Amino acid sequence: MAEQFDIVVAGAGHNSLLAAAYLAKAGFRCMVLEGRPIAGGGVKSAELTLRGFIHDVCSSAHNGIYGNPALRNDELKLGDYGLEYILPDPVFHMPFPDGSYLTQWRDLDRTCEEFAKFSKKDGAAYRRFIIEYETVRPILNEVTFNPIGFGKPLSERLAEHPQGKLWQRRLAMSAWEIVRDTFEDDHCRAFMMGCPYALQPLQDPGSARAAFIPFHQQRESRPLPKGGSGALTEALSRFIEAHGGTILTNKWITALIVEDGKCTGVECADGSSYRATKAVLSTIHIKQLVDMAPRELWGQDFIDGVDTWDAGLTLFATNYAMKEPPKYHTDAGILSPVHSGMMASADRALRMSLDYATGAVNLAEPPLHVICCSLADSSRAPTGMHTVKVVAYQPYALKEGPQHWDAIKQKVSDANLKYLQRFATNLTDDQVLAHTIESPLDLERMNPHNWHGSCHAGGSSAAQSGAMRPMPGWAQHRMPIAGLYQTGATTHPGGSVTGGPGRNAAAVMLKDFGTSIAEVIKKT
Amino acid sequence: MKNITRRGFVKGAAIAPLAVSHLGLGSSSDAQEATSTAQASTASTQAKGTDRFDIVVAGGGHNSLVTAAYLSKAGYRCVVLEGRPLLGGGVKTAELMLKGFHDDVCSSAHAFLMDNPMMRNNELRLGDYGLEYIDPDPVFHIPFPDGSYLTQWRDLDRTCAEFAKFSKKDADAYRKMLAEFDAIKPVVMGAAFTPIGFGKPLNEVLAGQPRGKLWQRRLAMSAWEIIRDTFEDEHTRVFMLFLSHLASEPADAPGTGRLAYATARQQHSGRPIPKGGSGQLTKALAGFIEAHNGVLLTNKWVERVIIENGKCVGVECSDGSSYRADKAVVSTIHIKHLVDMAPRELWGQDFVDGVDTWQAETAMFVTHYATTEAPTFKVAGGIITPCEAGVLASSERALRFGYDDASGVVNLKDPPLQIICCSAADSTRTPTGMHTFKVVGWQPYQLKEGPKHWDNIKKEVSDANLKYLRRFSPNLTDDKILAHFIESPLDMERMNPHFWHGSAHAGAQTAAQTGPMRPMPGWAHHNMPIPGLYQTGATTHPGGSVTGGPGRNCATVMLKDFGTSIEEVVNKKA
Repeated sequence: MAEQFDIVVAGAGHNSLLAAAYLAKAGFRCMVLEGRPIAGGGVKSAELTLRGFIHDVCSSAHNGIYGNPALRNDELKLGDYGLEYILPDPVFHMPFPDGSYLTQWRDLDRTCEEFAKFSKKDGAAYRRFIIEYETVRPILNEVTFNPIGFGKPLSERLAEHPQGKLWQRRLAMSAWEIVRDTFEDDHCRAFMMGCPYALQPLQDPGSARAAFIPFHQQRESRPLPKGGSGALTEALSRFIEAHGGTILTNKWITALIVEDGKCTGVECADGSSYRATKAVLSTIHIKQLVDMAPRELWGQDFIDGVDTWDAGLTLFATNYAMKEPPKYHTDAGILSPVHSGMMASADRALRMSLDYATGAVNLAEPPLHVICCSLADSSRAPTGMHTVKVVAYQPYALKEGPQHWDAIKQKVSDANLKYLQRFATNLTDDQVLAHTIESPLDLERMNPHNWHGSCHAGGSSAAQSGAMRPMPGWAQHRMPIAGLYQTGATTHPGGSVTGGPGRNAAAVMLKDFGTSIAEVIKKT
Repeated sequence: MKNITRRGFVKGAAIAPLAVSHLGLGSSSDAQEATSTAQASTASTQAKGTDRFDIVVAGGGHNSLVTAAYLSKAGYRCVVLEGRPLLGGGVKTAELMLKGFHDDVCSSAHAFLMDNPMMRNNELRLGDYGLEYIDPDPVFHIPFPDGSYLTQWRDLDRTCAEFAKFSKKDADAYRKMLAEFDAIKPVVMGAAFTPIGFGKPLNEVLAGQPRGKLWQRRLAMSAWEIIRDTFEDEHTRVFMLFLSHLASEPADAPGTGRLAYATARQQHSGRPIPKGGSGQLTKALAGFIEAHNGVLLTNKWVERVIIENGKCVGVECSDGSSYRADKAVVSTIHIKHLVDMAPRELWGQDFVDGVDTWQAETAMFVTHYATTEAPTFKVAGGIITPCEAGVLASSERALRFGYDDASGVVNLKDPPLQIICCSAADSTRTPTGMHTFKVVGWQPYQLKEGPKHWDNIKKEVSDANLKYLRRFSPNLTDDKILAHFIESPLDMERMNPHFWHGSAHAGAQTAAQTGPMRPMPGWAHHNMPIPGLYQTGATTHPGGSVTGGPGRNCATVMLKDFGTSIEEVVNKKA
């Protein structure tokens, strides 16, 4: 390789691209290497079924990244690179087996009325809790979008909050305890537990944050990039290229180059190798990264951390090309929301942890998320046609072993659609033009970073968050091998489209390079 | 006055059903209450005015008695007020069913107490006050539905051989697990027996240890994850899961990692039982306190704390008597009740928030039996009669606890059970040849139909437990049973309000309610928001079960506030 790069980025997910964007803006020459034909990782859109139907391969809504200074303060002006967001209204619609339903609208009063249909007390509780949450949200945001060890830890920040002690307790509680003690009606409880994507079982201690996700949605909906989830990573790619960076695809990394104990580059499956004069930034899953350099270079602590890493909850998705969007019956007539979902009861939500722990596929009233982006973004499908994604929760580690997924995935997918058809009666089989299934095993095959089917790289329990993500002692993006940095969902603040790990990694690297993210942002 | 008190105390020990019956329930108990109250109040009239006390202790559980013992040794005059006719709280022995059958009302084994410096260093010489431990061997026996079994013996090699019956790899894994745990045990134990805020927090200490980072992760993981990843055989996993569950936390809940090491912990300390009954510990502590000029009064139901100029100076009892403290009041009253004993505004919002968000744990369901035979289990070449045994059908059955508890379901399918037959190791518990044992199950207090529903179904649940136990212990036929006594989760709460919502450990021991968050963030150092008021018992660090930790930690904090230290007091002669 004749060309010289300051930074070699191993893997092109939204986090490593965001980190590269800041580094490129700082003036460092970045080479981003992506193993697959398209950059984007879990933030990618493609024609998975038929021509003209643009599906989101993994993520769709970008809630988390809305709190990221990258967007909140428009630090990178990604709008100039084609990024544009749509904020759907209604935000989320949940029909219940008894024919009733609860719709979350962008207007708070209107949403409270929906809760009040079931319980006046719960309508008031929703409003009261959202006001309480808004007072602590900025603190949680600060902790999410600062690297571990930068600024005060959460407990100290909470100490300055008038209700800080209560929030310390609340954040360590389970989402179920919060929901149960806040809402009395089972519909309201089921909505609160079914509307967010559960990152861990909702009765697990420390899962409380899931109970607050509806409040984030109340504030900023579930934003969709116009053109598809991948529009974010495409914009970041353009930004990097516009700042002297290069992005290569089909570059499958097989090894780290370590010289004199320092990581100086990477080797790819095609025999090519790339060298970095300053640093290598990896977004490769730690379970695979650890095999890309001699074990002894990592140290026992790091190996222990990799060995004890847990996958957490896994998803099962089917992408449909359809003639119609889902249509739900409401008092005001037919409703076709971008985001809808089913959670038959609070009890059904509590059942999930048992099914995951025992590796059981539970098809009784499966909790579902239904996403029809084409309703809000006509560019996603041919005129009058629609893309529909049905997402369910299923364990990767089946009793029969993960390979068994290939044998049952069609059956599971059909059962999910059948259950959806109970509520969206218009989605008859003849409306389906084509479909593709992503079982937990397929998700791992599609992207090794979805280790054991985990879209968030691994569980987000206390053992794997904050100062323990990816492991105690290595939560600052600096890896045990000098010159190697880590970003992506295995690092703080973890999975889903937040860009947090990306911007936090950039903050650490820029500090190590003698500048700071604040300075880089000011740069024009 | 000491004699009267002593008599009242001894008399209390002889009172049978009263020890568990709810105050004011049952005509016979009313009569009993009357007599002991009469005596107690005589005592209290004398105690009033004439007597001055440095410390008033509200509640006579093992922790508050430990605190009072250290304070008495330090020279502070203590009066301990117990609402029930019998001291001891959850560490109490009584004749629940028949005369001559001494049953442990709540706790039996005192495994974790042995790590408390009070016992480890014999700081109070409780042996001089009649405390003597029996160390049963085998420690624990678990028969499996397929007819096989795994027995834990005091001898490590013998226990490893038991694991090896199922998997050589698991036997080695067990040995390795013990060695690893031994390396970190002093750190983990040290944290349990040090008040919050004294010394470095556990996480910092761990960070400085070899492989401390691994332990940081392990302690935050679930017991199930550790057991699943350490052992390959279903039987050995079931054995480890059962013993991890004795703290009543679902083994798959994050933060239960430490419980995966419960087996390792008792491989060293065994599961010792006091000779004569669990209550011998609280009796010995009571004896120590009296020998150090303290006073113990029973039937003194504390209703209110007395506040003067914003300071807690004493308590008022339901019989109209009141007791004043020159230095401080120590409470072991459950925070859910304590908060109602003083005007709300004195506690402050943080404290009230902490009380409001306090969560219960999976409750226990207990049946005591008086029998003519001990439970016996078939083993190679004969039968075994262990002091403690457990039945758990599969690891999957253990993973149901969290779901059943959260959804309020009484699950009687292959109910996991702990069987404790102290008379098998301690002949003083029963008439010659007779036995007393209890069968402990785990059930939610909050039923879908509400907790009151327990009164309708407790007999059915108790029978289902016995029926399942007989699959493993077929000798327990009806003709061997002389009497039985049921404690449903609701009965537990009635018998002792500290068992809030049936919580034998006062409340769940999750991260939200442990360490610096027990009982609540900001109030984990035993000082309560009202000056002069201290809190001990299972609502404080390190939490529930018979550890004496909250008691000694509370004493440590108080003695420091009084200008001395627990070390000085321990080194004090006599």
